Amino acid sequence: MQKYNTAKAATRDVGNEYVDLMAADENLYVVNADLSDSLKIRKAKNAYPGRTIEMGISEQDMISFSYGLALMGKKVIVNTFAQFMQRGWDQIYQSGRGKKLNIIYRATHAGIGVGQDGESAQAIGDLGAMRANAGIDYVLDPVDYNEAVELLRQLLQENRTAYMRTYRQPVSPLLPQNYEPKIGRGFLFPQNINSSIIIIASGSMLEQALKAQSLLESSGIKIKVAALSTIKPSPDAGEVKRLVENSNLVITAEDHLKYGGGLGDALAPALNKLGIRQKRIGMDSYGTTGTPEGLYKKYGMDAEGITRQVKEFLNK
Amino acid sequence: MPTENQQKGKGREFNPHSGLPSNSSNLLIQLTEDVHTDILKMFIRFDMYNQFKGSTNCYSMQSSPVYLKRSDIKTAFENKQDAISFMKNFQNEHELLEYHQSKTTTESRNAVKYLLHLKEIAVINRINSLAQIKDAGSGHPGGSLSETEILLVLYEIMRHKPADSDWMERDRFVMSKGHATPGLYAQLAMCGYFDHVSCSFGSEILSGFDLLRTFRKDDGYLPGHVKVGVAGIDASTGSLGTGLSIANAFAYVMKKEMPEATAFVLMGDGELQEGQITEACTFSSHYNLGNVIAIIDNNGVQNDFETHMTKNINPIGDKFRAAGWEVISGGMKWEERQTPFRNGHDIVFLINALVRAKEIGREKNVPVVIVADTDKGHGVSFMVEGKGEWHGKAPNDELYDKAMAELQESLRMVRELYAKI
Repeated sequence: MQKYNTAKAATRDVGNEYVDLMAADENLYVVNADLSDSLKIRKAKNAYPGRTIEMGISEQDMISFSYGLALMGKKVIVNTFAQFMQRGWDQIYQSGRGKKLNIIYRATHAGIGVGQDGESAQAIGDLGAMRANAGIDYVLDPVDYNEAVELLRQLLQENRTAYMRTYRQPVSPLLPQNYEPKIGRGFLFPQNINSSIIIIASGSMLEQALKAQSLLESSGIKIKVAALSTIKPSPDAGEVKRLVENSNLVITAEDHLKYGGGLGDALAPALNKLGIRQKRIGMDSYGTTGTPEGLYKKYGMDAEGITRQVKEFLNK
Repeated sequence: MPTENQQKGKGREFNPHSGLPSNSSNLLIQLTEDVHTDILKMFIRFDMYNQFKGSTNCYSMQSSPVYLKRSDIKTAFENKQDAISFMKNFQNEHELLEYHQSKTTTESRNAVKYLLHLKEIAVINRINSLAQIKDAGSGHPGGSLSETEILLVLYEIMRHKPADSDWMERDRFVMSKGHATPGLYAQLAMCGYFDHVSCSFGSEILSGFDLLRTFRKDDGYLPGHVKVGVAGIDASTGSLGTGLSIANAFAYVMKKEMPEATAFVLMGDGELQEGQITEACTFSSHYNLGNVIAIIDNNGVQNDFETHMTKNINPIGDKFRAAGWEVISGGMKWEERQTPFRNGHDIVFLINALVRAKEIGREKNVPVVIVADTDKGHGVSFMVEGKGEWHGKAPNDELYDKAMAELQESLRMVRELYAKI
């Protein structure tokens, strides 16, 4: 477990950790498609110029190139925006054929939370797309900086491929210091542990869900909240059962199409089997230009929007 | 290498594009008389892909595929390195043959023997390519037959060890046109890569050339498209346009860790329509990857139809040159393409091109592309004439027999020629 970061930080800042990771492993390469600052990899570029490779604005080339590096026995972290990583979806698929390799597709500026660039840069189908890619073993949507760093470290210990989604907007540490993030595991917050309503959130929606929890509480509704960042493989039945124990309504919240193969769909089969009602919070279609706060409000994904929707779900 | 005069097209009476003597049409008319005494004329006759069109005599119909093995090779030579060094003095096969005919020396005999040895293997590889496709009932004959000599010469030049396919210091090869597997598998079998594999298939345990029978079959060893895990395969491909990016990565690492090694990639001309190749092309030159050698199997035909009719990507060499690459080509303008006698089937051209590409790349620190002009379906007349028709389907029994008859005639001819050297 790495040093616990107490300051507000965006998950996209995991790029700052690359220098240390590269210092510890001379086989680790970082590739980037003209987004060094957005990805926070400038430090790595300066410290290890030979192993931090600038591909230019060429995502497909970058992904097949990374496959080549991995075939040469290297570990590779592939970096670009979540929306643009999908330009190499087939290249990712093809790179998985025949041999297990350690390639981590680290995408950033995911979801409508990226804000003002508008829908052209707002990845809202990436989790589903990558979950449906046989070339990807893990799809992860970490909820805060500490979890993102820890999961990245774990991913570099395994000869597997992963898609890790990160966000531009900073968030305070949400998971407690004594929690050890692990692939496939969620965290159930202790507040209102006896409530029969739970929001399970991934990525940037955890912050909103926790705020909604407080808002609901002030109007007399107690709900539980769980963080779950592993979208693929779908968390096993035991883990889902642990998180939703004693619940009769599960609300999945994701900055993603809510029926687009993300968190909601990853949990649906297990919840269905347990006979627990599921409601979803997320996007229905394209986003638009706006501030992150403005957009979360517009699409009912901020704390107020979640609060309102939870009340609606309860009234139905 | 060509003299200055040859480069300017002076002095010699050879068509610079086809490599044929410039009076070849007259020559061909006279063939009937002295074909069995004049080796050069015999050779020209051998090389005319359609010379054996319709030839069925002497060979019993054999619609169940027969594979040939290394033990079926009838030709031999003395010394490979000497032969390759000697070939450097010539631009193409015909020049070498002509020299040998007029001034027979020990060196020229060795070089011609080596040439004919490779020619024989090329025919065998073609037979094995079509046999796989016939056996499987599907596959890509056109591209497998156009790439035959390219692959054959490549594996002669590459630093590789079939008995130790994971040898770290080896040259790497990326088969970017990953659908043209029968040609590649035939070549890998010939190199001996499959001799060290044993694979259960139905009730049998198969190894070596027998593995060719498993192409595209349920639980077979050889998948439809190129895939890591098959002995001798360095990267999975099959979705076009990815190979150069992969070769760039190989070269990037090799440049630091194993400077002797080279990354080769074979692409089809139709494949160049993929945008990713443009992306990768710039990477190779920007990072001065003098250890990347790309070869274009420029057969001029893609799945639907001729490449220049589908979406014209010509002139290929100029595009690579503009991206900072060195270009080696036969110099033929794409508008002037005509069958047969493409440099991509000329073993002397290909050997020289590959040897030169390795030298130029390292001298100038730039990537090198070899534009090898080929016939799609080379060696089988109706496949060449069919254009796109033979991109991706198996011949029926009648056409398979017809193809085999033509190839068997080629085989007989090259052996006869060898006997006269």
